[in-house]
Amino acid sequence: MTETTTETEEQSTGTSVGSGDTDTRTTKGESEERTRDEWREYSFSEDAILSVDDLNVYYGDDHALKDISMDIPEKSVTALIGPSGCGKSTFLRCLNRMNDRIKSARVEGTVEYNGEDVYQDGTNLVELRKRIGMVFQAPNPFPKSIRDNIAYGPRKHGDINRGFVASLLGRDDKEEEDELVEESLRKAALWDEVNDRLDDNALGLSGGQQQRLCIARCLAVNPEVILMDEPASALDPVATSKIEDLIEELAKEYTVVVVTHNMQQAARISDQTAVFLTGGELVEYDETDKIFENPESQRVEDYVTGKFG
Amino acid sequence: MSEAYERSLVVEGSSAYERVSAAVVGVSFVAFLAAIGTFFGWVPLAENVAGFVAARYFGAVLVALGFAVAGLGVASRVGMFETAPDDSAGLVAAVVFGMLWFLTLGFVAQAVGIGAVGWIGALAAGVGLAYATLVSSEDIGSTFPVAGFLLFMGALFVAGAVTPESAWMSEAFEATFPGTVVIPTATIMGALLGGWTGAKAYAGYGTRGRQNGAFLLISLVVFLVLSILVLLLAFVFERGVAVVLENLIIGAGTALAFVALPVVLLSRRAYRRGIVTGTGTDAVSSYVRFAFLAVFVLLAAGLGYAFATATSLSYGSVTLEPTTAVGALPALVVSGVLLLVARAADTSTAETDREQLVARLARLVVAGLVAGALVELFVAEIGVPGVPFMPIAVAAVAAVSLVALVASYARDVPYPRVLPVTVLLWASVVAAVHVLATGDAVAVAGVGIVEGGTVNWPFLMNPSQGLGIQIGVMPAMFGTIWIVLGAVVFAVPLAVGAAVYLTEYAEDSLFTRGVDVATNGLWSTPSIVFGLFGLAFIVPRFGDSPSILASQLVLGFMLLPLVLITSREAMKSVPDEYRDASAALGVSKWRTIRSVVVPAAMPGVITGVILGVGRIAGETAPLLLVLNGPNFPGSAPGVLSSFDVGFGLQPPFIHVSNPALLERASALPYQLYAVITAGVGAEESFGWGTALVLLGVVLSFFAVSVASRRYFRRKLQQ
Repeated sequence: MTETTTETEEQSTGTSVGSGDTDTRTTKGESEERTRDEWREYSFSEDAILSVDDLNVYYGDDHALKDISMDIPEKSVTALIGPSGCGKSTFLRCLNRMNDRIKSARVEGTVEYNGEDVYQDGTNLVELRKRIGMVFQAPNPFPKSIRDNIAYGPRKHGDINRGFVASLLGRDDKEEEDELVEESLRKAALWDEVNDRLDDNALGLSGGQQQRLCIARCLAVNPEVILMDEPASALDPVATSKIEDLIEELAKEYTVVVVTHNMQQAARISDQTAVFLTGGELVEYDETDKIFENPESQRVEDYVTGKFG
Repeated sequence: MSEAYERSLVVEGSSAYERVSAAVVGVSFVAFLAAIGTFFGWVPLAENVAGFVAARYFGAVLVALGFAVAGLGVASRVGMFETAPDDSAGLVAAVVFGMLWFLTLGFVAQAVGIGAVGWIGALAAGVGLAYATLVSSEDIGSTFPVAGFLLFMGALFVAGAVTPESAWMSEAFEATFPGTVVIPTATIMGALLGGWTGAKAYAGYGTRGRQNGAFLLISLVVFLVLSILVLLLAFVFERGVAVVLENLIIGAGTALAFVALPVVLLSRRAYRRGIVTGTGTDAVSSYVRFAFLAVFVLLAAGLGYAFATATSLSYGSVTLEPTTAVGALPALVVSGVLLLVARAADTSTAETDREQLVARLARLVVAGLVAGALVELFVAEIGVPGVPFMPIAVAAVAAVSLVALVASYARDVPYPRVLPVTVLLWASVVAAVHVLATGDAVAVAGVGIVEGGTVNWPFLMNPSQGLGIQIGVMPAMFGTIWIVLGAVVFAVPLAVGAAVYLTEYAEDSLFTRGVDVATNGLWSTPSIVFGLFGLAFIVPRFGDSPSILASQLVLGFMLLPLVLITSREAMKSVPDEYRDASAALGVSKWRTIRSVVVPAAMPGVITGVILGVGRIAGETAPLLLVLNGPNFPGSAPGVLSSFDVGFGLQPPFIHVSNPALLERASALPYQLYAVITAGVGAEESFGWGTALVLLGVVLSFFAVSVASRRYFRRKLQQ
């Protein structure tokens, strides 16, 4: 155990990613050790919007993520796969600092968004989360109308003024709001299904519609990056395929990072895939085709072919 | 292979066994009701009915039930019918029957004078019977002990050994057991046991039988609880209604305004959803609604006829006079409610530029009218002497909107008709406020809004004149209303704020747990302790005299813990997903609380307010100390009229005082206590009237709360 620790410390200076168990890892090819620069190369670093460096997360005494370094290129879909409890959701929640909401969580390392560390003091969480939106595993619309759900973010941020006082001051942005609601719902491929009942409660929608509503709600605050935490795991196959199509469509305009435990889904929709394995390590991160067809690591091959859960 | 099972899967029709068991259940139920009825004098017990004392019939029923129950047991045992009894009636039945027989025999022994030896014998018999119940087959074990009890008690009553006149004074208990108590009690016990056994026998004993028996007992308990509630309300209503309604005179115009409310609401519903919709119970309830609508329409037609022909109707001491004017307060209430309805119905949006212009203009006009009304209410009447401005403005606005309404129907244009109706209702609200503020009528040829005189309700509108010549409870009623309102206004924001802090900001710690324990403790604190605290701490700091303000604060302290507890529970049950979703959109915690957490918790908060108001409105003990006014004050506390707002050049520049809040007053429960304890015979009916008004005040608060809770729930759901 001490051996592993020293090794980790060594590597944290930057030679390899998630290779805390190099000794146990059986590799297929010659190149079992990659330098940091080589990883960068695989990480499409020239257009990285998010750049994670030596990220460690602890829940109390539990070391949930170990020395994660990876770059996420913009306007693409990055899938995070791995078995349950491997830390992929934790990693995702680090990117817009949603882990701050968990009292026992402690984060070390840096997450750079457009070159700025989001974990430095003085980061404006409101602005950060406006730029890096999030969609959760279970659809979680507010118990409000569809319109109120979509307009919730902009209204609370003061980008849209509604209500009695606004109308008295002559600053009622009803038209802007209508446009925004329609645009967001169209982008989320929900407009055609709900345009005649925007004032109905969102809880009356089906699960798949609710999840697309949550995506639309996220789009309404105009983010650059959308984090999705297993967005289709609570949905049926038809709704899932709609969400998948939507993700591919969104990647033209937005950077999408999606956690999934469904490997076929990752293979279908993502441009690059990061494989987390038990213990909170990032074992391999590469273009999706490479991961699924010819992974470097034996463990990753075992995992993606279903030999190891 | 069906021989492998003892009983067939499907049984068609009902056997004689089932019919007899069902009859046992039915007769038991009737006997149960009749026995309860004797307590209230609805069912005769000591009187002669068809030649016999009524108590003997109770005995006869018990004997009949006893034979039937025993017969059911025997028939099952000898295999005349297909049943599935267990090997034993079970421990519960054994203990119940053992206790029953132990007590019965013990009392009998006591009555015939055997005393202590008798009790020991009874104990031995009870234990023996419990053992016998336990070891015998279920069909015998659960029927024979019951049948024995029924036959024994029934025989006593039939033979006249126990009559309603008999009274047995036990030396051991220092209590008297009159026949009027023993007979119904034994009948209730017998009916419960007989019904229980009958229900078990109906399903053929065994698992299904026990389930049936348990179901019967549980439904009886539910029935009992409901009947207690209904009984209480009905009893107070019956005693108090005549006093409350004495010499009530109501104008036909005002009555019509109140009848119009349900007519509008019901017909709107019928219009939107169809008169008869749905199937089964839905259809039934829509028929009921339709029937209500018809009744109200008929009522309205009758009232219209009454003032068309200028006849005055009277029923008892209630009179309906053919005045056409509407009182200002009723007009305010009715048009206010209708405004809410119109607002809820307003789904139209102004499409074209012209429509938008009209809508904006209408809003402007309404705003102007409301501003004028507020000025009149708080500052002074608007207009030059002799020419009041507001009535003219109101009449003009009302005329224009009437014309617009008629025109929109006549031309059949797709025009938002809600708009002229809304403006019209606002005009009526403003007119009512004008009448209230100035006392001048807004009426043409007797049709319109006048200040008072259309309703004369002595019990509610007059102060009491003192013992012996009491008339009304108005001062006490307003005292209660002001105190409850003040307590709610004081306590609810504090409690909700504390709940927000404890749930959303404070981490779960020793501190929050301590606060929880303390809150629960505070809620269970006796109210007289609150009163004493108020007397010692609050009263010296606010005018050094018991006052309305002190009472508001003390009752607010009492309300605080309950609202805090329920608000906290409601906020805890708001799913964390909402908070996560809001945080992920970059919305700050405070805004999340305001726009997601508190609205979602609102129904729970209001539930707390409902429960709390019910308690504090009826509080007497603390008011004895901190309100302590005259028992029969001559005038109501003028809280609204004695607001004194002064402006000055020195800080704090504005200076508000309200002497009425610092005066002693009376409240309904307090006055009720005074009336009942005065000990002058004739006052009891006055007390019942006071109680009914108190009930009415509490139920009105309750109705408002329930309506607002429903509003918030619907907002969350649709």
